[in-house]
Amino acid sequence: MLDTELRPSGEADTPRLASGRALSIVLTLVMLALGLIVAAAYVGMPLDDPSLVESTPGQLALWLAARNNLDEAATLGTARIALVGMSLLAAGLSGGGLYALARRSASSQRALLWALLSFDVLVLNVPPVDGSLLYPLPLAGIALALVALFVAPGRVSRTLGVFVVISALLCFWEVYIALGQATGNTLPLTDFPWKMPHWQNIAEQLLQPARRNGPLLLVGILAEAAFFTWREAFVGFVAGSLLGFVLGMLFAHSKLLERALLPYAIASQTVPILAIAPMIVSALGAGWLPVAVISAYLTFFPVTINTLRGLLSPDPMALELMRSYAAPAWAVLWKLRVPAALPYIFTALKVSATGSVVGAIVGELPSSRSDGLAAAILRHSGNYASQPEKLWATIVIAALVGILFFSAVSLVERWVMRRRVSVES
Amino acid sequence: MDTSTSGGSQTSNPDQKVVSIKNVHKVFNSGSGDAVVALQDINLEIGANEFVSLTGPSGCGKSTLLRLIADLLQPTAGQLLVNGKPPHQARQDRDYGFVFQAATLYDWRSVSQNVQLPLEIMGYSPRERAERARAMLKLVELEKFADHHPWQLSGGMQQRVAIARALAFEPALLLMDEPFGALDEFTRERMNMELLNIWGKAGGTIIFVTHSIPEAVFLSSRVVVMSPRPGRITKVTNIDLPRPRNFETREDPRFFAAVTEVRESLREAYGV
Repeated sequence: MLDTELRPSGEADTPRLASGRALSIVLTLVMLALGLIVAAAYVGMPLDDPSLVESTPGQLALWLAARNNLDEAATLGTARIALVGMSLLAAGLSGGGLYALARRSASSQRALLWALLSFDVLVLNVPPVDGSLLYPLPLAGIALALVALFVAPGRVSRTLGVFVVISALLCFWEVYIALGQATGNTLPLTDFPWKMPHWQNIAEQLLQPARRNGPLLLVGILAEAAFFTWREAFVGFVAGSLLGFVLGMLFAHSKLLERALLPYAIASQTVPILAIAPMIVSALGAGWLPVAVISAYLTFFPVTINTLRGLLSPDPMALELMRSYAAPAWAVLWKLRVPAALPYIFTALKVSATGSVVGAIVGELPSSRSDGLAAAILRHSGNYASQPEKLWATIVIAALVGILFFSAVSLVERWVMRRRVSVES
Repeated sequence: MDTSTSGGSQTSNPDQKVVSIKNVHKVFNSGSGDAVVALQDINLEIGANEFVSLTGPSGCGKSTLLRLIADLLQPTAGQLLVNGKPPHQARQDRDYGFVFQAATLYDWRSVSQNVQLPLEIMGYSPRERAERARAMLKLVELEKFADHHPWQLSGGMQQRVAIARALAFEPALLLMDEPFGALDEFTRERMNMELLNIWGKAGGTIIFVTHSIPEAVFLSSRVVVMSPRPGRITKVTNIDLPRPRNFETREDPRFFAAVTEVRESLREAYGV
């Protein structure tokens, strides 16, 4: 019957290191202290201290004051409260990790993960100010949390890996910059500050006006551009997926068609899209249509291949069963082949979701669409040496579009496949 | 070739036969260098409401013979009739249900939906489908699992669902290809009992392929012994054990005598 050998839920797994729990308790204690120190530093901080003014909430406060004719002291005071709050949150979540570890709770790792995330947030908000000791403290918090997560007992959750990698990258990145400064900028990529901008500067840049004294923040402009591009990508995704599905059906149905057309489908993917895009644009004229077509061009192929594979996946006995019912072709297709192909098709749709966004961005370039992500990327790569953070911020937003689209398809997949054997069970 | 093929039949009218096989040959890869004679000169007649087992070692063609009856394969030579019709016509008329060695349930369908699969294909109304699925699951004593999914059931339960599915459209002929071959000995013996119960309630003709001699003897009214290279029928033994058969049957001296008889006919075929 159902899996009866579930692990006892209250009990944590054996730690991978004998002293793992003790070590992670010590580390979380230090993390707790770090959070409290940062909070204490901000509580009494003068309003003109660069660690406050250049912080992400500080910059937002200045913009709000300038735009709404507010008192800078008031908005900066609010920013200071926000920074104290974030620091206390990091301290509190570290305390939560400590509590879970002390209780030998099975959710220790989850508690530590939340603490790690709170330090990530802190690093994105506390500015790197020369000579200030405040900036390294949250970085140290991340490093300690990573070690604590590594040695702590408990089950590893699915999302853990994603956040561990991004946190480790953030930590490594910032430490590398610091090392470069300490060694007189002799390390590769540290000779000019624009080669490796601070992550805090990127986060801060998102909350700065897109143009000097402009009414809109960069993040707002980029979000609009992202939505604009996503709509084109979505049309391309739907059209490309339908085309891919139909081609897969045709290939599964006829060996002759597969032999005749599949090589061309493969060849179409080896042709550089950058070369094809201008032709499609000149053929179809300006507007969203050529962009959607280019997006569909990058979308259909994985769907074709996986639909074909999925439709051919039922085992011979499942097909003989249909034959024993003298089942007509439509029944074999819709009651056996298509349901069996769904897992394959969804795998392809997830690949295509991200591909369609790339396709839309590439398609926007030759069609000179000025409202999409492509224009933003062009604009900000022109100013890269002076304002590298803007291009990085644009990349972050563009990546988010792909990730969100991917996640949306995953959600649909989970809903459609909710009655099937899940990989996890 | 043994002549006892007529042993179990009481009538001489060929139209009365559920299955009638005359001089059937089956050659795989015929015409090429690696041609394999799977069946040679098969003659067999099976009457209504018989339970006939085909048994023999691997490669004797017992599964091939069953697939010829089901029109899942076509004979190279000879004549096959199912309910007096060519197998192709019998398949189009949905004259038989087939149970495979694996349950071959579709895992995206619930147990009840799996039982309804043939009914959907054959155009039954939704109400009738639901009613029949309920009745069939009651027959195999799985009515409580109607909304479960196949992967939530044990192997024996899955095979019972497969039997319910094969019986859902009430075919008069049930073809079973080593349906309990993958089950452990205890489950298999219990499934044998349950199959006899189901047969007792549902009636009809069953042709059952197995490589277990005790299983064949326990279930059948006739056991067809086959031997390989080339596949042929060496002996057909009537099993006259009283019905209903139950766990005591397996301890009956007549049961052992019948098992021994079948086993010896297998040994004769090998000349051991």
